[in-house]
Amino acid sequence: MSTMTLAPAREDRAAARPQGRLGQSAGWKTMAKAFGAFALAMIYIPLIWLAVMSFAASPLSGIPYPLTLDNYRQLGGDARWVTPMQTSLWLSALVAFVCMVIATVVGRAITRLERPGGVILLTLLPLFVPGLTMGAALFIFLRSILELKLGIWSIFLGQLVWALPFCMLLVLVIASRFDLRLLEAAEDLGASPWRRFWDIEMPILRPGIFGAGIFGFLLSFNELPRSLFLRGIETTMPIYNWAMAASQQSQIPIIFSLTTLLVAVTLPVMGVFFWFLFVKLDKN
Amino acid sequence: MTMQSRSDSPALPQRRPFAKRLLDGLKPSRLTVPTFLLAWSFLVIAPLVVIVLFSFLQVKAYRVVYTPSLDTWISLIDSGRWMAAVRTLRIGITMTIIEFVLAFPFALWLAKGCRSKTVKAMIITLLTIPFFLDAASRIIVWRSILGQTGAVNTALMSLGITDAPIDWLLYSEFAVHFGLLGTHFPTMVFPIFMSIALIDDDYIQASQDLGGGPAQTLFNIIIPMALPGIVAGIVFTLVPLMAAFVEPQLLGGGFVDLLGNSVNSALQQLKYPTAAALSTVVVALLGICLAVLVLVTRRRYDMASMFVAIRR
Amino acid sequence: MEHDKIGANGLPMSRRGFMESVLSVTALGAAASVLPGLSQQAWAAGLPVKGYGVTTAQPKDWSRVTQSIGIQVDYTPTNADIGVFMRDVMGNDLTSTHDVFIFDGGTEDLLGPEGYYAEIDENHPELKLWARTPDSWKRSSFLRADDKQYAVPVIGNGDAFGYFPAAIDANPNGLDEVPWTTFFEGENVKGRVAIDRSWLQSMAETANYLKHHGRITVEDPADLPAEQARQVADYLVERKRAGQFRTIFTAFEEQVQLLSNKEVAMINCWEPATKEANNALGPNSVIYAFTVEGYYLWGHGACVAAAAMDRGNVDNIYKLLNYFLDGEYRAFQAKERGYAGPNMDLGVQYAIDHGWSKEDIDGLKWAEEKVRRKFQKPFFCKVVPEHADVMEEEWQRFLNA
Repeated sequence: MSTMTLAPAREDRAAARPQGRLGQSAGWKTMAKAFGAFALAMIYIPLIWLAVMSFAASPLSGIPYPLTLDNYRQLGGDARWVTPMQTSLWLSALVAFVCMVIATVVGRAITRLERPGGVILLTLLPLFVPGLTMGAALFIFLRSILELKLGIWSIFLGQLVWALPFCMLLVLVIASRFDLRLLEAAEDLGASPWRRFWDIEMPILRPGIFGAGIFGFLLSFNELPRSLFLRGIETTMPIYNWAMAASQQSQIPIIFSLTTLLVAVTLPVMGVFFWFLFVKLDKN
Repeated sequence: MTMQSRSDSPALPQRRPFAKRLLDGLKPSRLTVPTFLLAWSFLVIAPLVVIVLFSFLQVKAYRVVYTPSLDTWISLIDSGRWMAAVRTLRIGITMTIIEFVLAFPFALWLAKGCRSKTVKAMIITLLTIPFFLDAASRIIVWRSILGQTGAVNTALMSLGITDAPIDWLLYSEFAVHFGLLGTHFPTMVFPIFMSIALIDDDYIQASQDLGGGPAQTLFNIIIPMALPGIVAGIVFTLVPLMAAFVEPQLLGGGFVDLLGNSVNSALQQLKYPTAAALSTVVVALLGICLAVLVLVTRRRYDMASMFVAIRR
Repeated sequence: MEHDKIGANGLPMSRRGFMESVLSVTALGAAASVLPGLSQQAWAAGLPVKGYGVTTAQPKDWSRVTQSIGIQVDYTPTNADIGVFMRDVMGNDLTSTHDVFIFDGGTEDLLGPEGYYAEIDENHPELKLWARTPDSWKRSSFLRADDKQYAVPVIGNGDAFGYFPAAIDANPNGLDEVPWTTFFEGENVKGRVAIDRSWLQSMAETANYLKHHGRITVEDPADLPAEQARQVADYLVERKRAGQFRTIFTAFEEQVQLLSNKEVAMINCWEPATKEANNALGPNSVIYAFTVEGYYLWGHGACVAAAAMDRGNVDNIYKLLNYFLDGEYRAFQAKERGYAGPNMDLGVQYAIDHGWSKEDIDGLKWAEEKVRRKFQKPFFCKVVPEHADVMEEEWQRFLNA
């Protein structure tokens, strides 16, 4: 398919749009779009099904009829999930912010090293350790050896150890494409270190930093294995779901409707956020 | 305060606010990396060293017995637990390859082929949302689609394609792979997309002007420049795959016992040594994979300087 | 609503009714009070009771308890994961902050003699219902260790398996005994059996089955020494290879789904799963079995932290323990989950007093009758088996086979 469309497409595309250069052929684009559509379908078919079943009388049966709002009524009538949800939201926001700051400050510094390999490997090490093991390791260390009282702070540390390597990688991916000569030029022109960072580095690093924030938030928001060990007696949303899974009462009506609501809220919020990031901010 | 700022930065307007001078301290200092490594060692390396040492101890009735022994390591072999580690690695690597094949062209299109910024923003949003959601509820839905009385089998049978329901759609390695596909796609796309988006169109243009075909442009320009993103994507995907827990449990029907499940079972008896030994095996296996990757690609791409900023 | 009932029936004001009116007055005061610390104290008489334990023991809403006995309960939920529980009580020092622990009975075997739990004071004035609680519940081995009482019974059941009567040509009224032989070896359900991933339950049930039919010799099917654990695992591996099992399940939702999709014909699930499935499939589609060989008996016990006995809140703690023995808790647990417990007669009385429907009341009576019938068979269960480590290793061999 790619060879067939190659010749006629070349002329006009190449002349019209520089970003079309790579694909003189529409073939690979069709393939790329098909792959993407397939993967997105794999993500969204269960979600759509889940949203439909959240209106079903017995959500696990696979039969959406009869339709009902009972599940949402149950959700509204049950206030126990609200506090864990709030805890998760602000904790994740905090993890995201701290990850953004550390990843930016340290990530930039790492790209200026002559041989960053060792440092990077050390930073990424916790990624390779299974979550439960990392949780157990931190529990033994903080609780059994240092004899500290666990709580939100230890969940925070556990999630930081999990999210930071991802955030660091994102910043590194961008920062390693950064040309240091730009900074030297700015310094020669008398820009202060802050102006050099804010006006020159920041616009280039921005996708990486925002990416770090988003990943930090999401990784923290759904984190369970480490939190399980480090919770003390605190309850986040994933811990709440985990505990309720053993209650021998179906949580599905509540979880399905909560998930549907979560999609309904996050979809527009994230949509506006990314639109702002890509369409509004990205003027160059 | 003002005196200091005058002497510090003569080239700038005088009386710079304190906050700004504080922010000047943000410039990469020689101390940043060592400070970070020190904190990191305390928070990550020390606990990991402790737990690896634990693998030479034993737990009886939820209590650690402080007598060094190799029993835990021997029991990894006797109970067949090591097979779970190998199986996990096999599925993890297979899925990473599948995801890469799907994600690379898509990321390339998203970064260079897709002209509408709004479409870009929409796709990125769609890729972000699944992370917010509880994995178990997303995955359990597949069971009513793939089951013996599920949507797929019902459709196949009513179309007359098969007579009896297809068993291996659910509770099989196929089902586990299937379930993992959607979950781990976004993590592969994001970093690759980011690194390709950063490649200046002029480079691609230049390659074309010099008579390079699409394949040459791809292998000589795009892949080398996107390499950090590709490596990040592989790490982002392979690592969570090693910890996959929900999909094997809900779709594998218990017949696809993976590392996460095995560690979980050990920790339910507070067998820290077993969890530690099993995890050590995994880290070692991943280390070997990484080393092989570096050696294989060494001739073509310089991994060591991959994350170094441009100087000259 | 309950107020109106009592008033309309013209019954004399009970202790509960009195507490309710006192509470509504104090609650008003609390709402008006500006000082949060003060209002907290005014709301419930004395300090709140801090509990930690499984969600199964949780009423839908703890405020029901506060309304009923005037005690505020501050409950930290956890999963039925014994490792997490042991870690939190022993490693996390929860006894220094929490008063009551509710978990599958059996933890006292370890935590009692180790000094984490206090012995139950059977003569405490607030434990009013202790004397009338039948021995079959209160003297169960899963509430005691070393001949000492460490726990008050909360709920319990004899677990077996759920089945579709049509699949095995059984009596559809579900009153007949079905043997475990069908579960493990029945040709008519081959490849349509689901087995629980929890080895505590599945290995014990298999061992009891093998013991009943004289195929292994073991004293306690729930606590298997190395040799017997290996025999049981060998048998299970053989059945797995023969294709008897369709799946090895974990979560409650899986049990419900396997049944309501008719993906399996037999499953050693929890009883509430059959209840949920019947909501979708119609009454009595799935039966929770009476068996020939016996039951996996489990029961939740409420234990008191040893340290809590010095914290000056003992009266409230015992009020809560007494509540678990009383009719309101019993009635709601049976209605919401189908689980029985001690003093079901008080539950039935509560339901009658509060105008529950005839259907609900019959449900409570059936729950009692069911447990009485099951109690005539052999029982086995141990949450903290002595040989846990070898059993777990052998179970891994089954999973990896």
